[in-house]
Amino acid sequence: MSDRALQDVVIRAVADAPFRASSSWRRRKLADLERIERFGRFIARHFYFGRILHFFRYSRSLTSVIGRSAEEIVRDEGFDRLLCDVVVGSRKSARRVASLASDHVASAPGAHRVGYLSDLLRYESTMMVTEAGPRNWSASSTGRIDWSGDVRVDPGTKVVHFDYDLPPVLPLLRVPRAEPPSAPKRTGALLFTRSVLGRVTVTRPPAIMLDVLGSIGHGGTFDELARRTGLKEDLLRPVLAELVDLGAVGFPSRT
Amino acid sequence: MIDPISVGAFYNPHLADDLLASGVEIDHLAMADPPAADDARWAAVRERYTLLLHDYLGQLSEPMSAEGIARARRLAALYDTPWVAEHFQCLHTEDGTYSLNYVFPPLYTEEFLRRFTANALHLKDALDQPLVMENIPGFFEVKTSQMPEPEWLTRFFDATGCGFLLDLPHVWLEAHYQDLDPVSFLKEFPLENVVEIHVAGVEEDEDLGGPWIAPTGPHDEMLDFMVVALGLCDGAKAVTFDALSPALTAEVVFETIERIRARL
Repeated sequence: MSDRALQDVVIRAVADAPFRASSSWRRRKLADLERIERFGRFIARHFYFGRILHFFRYSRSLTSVIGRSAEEIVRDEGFDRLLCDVVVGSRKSARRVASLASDHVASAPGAHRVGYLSDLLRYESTMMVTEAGPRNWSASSTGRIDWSGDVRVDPGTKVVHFDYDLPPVLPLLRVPRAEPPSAPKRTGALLFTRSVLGRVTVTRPPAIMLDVLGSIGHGGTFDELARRTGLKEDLLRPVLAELVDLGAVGFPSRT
Repeated sequence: MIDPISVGAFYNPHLADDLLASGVEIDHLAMADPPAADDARWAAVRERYTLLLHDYLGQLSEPMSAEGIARARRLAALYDTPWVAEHFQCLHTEDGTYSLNYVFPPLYTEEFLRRFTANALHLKDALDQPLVMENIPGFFEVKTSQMPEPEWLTRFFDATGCGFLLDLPHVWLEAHYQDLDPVSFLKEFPLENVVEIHVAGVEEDEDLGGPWIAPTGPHDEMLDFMVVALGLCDGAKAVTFDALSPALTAEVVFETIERIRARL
């Protein structure tokens, strides 16, 4: 095994609590087990504190109204229990941490004072989960698309339906508020995507984009997708190019 | 020997108003992230301070992508930075499945020395400014390392001609966890290559069961350590208070800057 591969094993041991507890790691005797357990817990708490601060920043601006903020959970017993099987950066762990954070805020005494709080917490949770998952660290965002490949939807891509129109209110939640700004009650869908460089984007997708996304299903080539959607090439190609740019879909043979 | 030396801190955008309104003399700000598009104070900050590029550019265990290098060049030009900093870190797996999102040292082996040397030379050649590299602490020892960290760093700097960004709390923490005298340990590092020094606060961490870096002011022992280090690092040009956190207050930054200056 190369030293680089060995480093990967050590990184995994720090990030992946179940692996850290496994006999396959422990019998390697690469490092003091107590030390690496402590460091793994430190990294997980530090990591999720930072992710919650970042993604739950809008609900945090309403702390004085709600009475709680999401990042408080990293010192809770529920989070301590989660540390036993957390995999730092994984989508599954992001989902569990986001759920803890949302439940904590949603059950606060002042939660009822923000009519759109449930939507807001779903928005923040979805952003956090969308960002999670493996990354291609050497990726380039300027690669061209190989249209001959099979198109697939990135697993982090989510279309979420909301009861309130959140995008107009979010800029008002960048600073602490003593009163919640109002949000228009208007149902609609938002598209959550992660670019190849890891940037999370939330957009209001046009109907044609939702149709194309829905039609991709389990994949297929560009020609198959054109047949499935009934869209002509000059309509389908720019929609797919935009989805690729957002990271919502990819062509595995993309260069 | 020491004066004039640039004294600065990290740019914490939530403190921008306090920085700009304050009369406390801060010579430089290290930039860990690009300015946000909605940072209304950025232009004034850029105008007033010398800026040091201290972003995550890429882990040099792997070659940097063309896009990564272009980004480094863009940021270096934007800040007009006197030097560009990166870290001796390897924090994500090659396949991208795992990432610690936190500084983490490589194994101190011949293979990693070759990797970091080649990739740092590639980055250094692509930049218009000198490249400096920061030491990263290990909380636990990995038994496959082939040489002590100071020896590995010495060989790296000899091979690349890069500058050394000496993070003093990192040395102090390693000495603490290895039960070593910090000054004796410090003297093993290639101090002749030091360009910039970081100081920071440490606090007890429950998970670690001991001290670790925290967004607080350095204790007196750390500042004493800084004075010793400055006496050993003839080429040091800057001291930076290394704290970047939404929890950091302007009072801590200003007080720390003044305490650092008082020791110069």
